[in-house]
Amino acid sequence: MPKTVPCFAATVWHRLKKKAELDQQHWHCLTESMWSEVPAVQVLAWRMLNRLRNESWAADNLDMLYLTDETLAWAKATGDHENDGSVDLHRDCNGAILQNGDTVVLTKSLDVKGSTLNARLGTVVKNIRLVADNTEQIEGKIEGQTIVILTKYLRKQNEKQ
Amino acid sequence: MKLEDVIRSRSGNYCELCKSQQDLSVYEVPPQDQSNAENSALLCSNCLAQVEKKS
Repeated sequence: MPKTVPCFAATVWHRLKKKAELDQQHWHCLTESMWSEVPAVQVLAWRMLNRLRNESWAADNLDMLYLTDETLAWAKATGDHENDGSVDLHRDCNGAILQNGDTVVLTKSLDVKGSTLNARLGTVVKNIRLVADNTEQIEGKIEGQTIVILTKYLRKQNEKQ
Repeated sequence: MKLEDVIRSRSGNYCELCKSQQDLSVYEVPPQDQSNAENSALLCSNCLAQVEKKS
């Protein structure tokens, strides 16, 4: 993202990119907790500091944080440290954040290949599951069948409806 | 003692990353074959959500 983008525009930019920034202020807590003697805490601190490594305070802490070879190998094992401070989010056609268990409404009649499934505009799909590695997709049951639905063709239903 | 009890007593019932006392649970840091006190940590819901990239 360009550095000159003002704050409000940055928020919009991240909404468009379906991303949310880590709460920087919150993670200053790592300056203290990274010194824990518990390997699990060291690994979590190391991974989170890596995600925040573009911030100088995080990079400085990372320089000081010594892990044993064994713990470092564990910390690297998920590949998580290669991610940056932003998180991919599933959003509906209006940009509302979707979560597992949400109820959504189809905003388009869908043609499900190889099936006679009736997935018309307005169909309510309860208890959706987010597809972990693809923010464009969710899974939901229509007429008892689990299908993958694109997030751009659905709208989150408000809880009060 | 159960694993959760061990970790809760070790951490004094505080989040081991941010010291919050809100909504604590044991997080088994991946990848792991079998959870133990060394490879699990007590986290608050705020830290957990961001660690797991859900917010």
